[in-house]
Amino acid sequence: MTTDEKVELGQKIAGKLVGITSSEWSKWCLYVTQHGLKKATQFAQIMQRSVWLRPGPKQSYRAISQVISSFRGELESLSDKELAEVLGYARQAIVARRATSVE
Amino acid sequence: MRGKPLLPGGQHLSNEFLIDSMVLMHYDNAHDECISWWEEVVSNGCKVCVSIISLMERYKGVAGLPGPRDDTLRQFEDRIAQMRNTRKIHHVFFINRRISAKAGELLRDYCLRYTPPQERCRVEALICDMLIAATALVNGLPLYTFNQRDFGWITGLQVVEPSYEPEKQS
Repeated sequence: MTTDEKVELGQKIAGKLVGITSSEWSKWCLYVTQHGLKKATQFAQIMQRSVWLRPGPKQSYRAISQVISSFRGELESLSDKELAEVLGYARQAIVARRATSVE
Repeated sequence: MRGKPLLPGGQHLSNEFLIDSMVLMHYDNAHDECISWWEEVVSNGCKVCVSIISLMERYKGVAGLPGPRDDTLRQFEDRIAQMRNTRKIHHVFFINRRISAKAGELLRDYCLRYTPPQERCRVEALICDMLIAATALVNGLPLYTFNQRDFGWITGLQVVEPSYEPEKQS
C-alpha cells in the first residue's frame, strides 16, 4: 500500500467517525498496537455498552466499533506497521477536523 | 414519571431546544467537551434540534478539510444522517413562511437598534443568525449558543449558554 493510499484510508475512516474524541481514539489505537485489531475491536464493542462509562467516551467507542467493523477487510490485510500508520493518519484527520473550526 | 431533564452543569430546562451553528461545529469537529456535553444531554432525555441554516453553514467549514472535497462533504452528510438516525439530532427545522417572516422582523429590529455591519460575510452571518433565532422563536424553543452578544437582545428568545468550555481558537 502506498503512502497516498494509507492517507486516503485514514481520512475515510476519520470521516465516518461520529462523536469521536481524539483522546479516546488515541487510547484505542494504543490498545491496537498492544493487543491487535481483533481484540481492540472486541474491546470497543464491550466499552460501547459499559454502564460504567460516561456517555461521551461511550459514544466514541460506539463510533469506533461501527466504523472499524465496516473497514475490517481492508484493515486486516495490512501489516502491523501499515495498520499503525493508517490509524495515525486517521488521528491526523480527526485533529485537522478539530482545528478547522470555521462556521 | 420521568422528572425534568437535568443538563450537565445542573441546569433544569426544557427538554427540547435548538442549538446554534457553533455548537454543531464543536460536536462535528470532535471537541471532547462538546461531545461529552451533547451525549449527556441526549442520555438525559433531551431533544437536540438543529436549523437547516446551521447545516448549510457547516458546508463552508467542512469544505476546508484535507482530502477530496466531494468526499469530505459526503462524509459530513453521512455523519449528520447518522446523528439523525441515532437521535443525537432529534429534528432539523427547515425554513418556512412563518420563520422567514419572523427573521425579517428581527432583522428590521436589529437595523433600528444597531448599525448593521457593512462587510458581506458579516451581513450573511447576521441573516443566518436571524433565521436561527426566528426558528427558535416560532417553535417556542430555547436557543443554546455561546453567542450571547448577537442573540441576547432579542425579546422573547430564551438564550442559554451550553455548560461546556468551548476551546480557545489559536
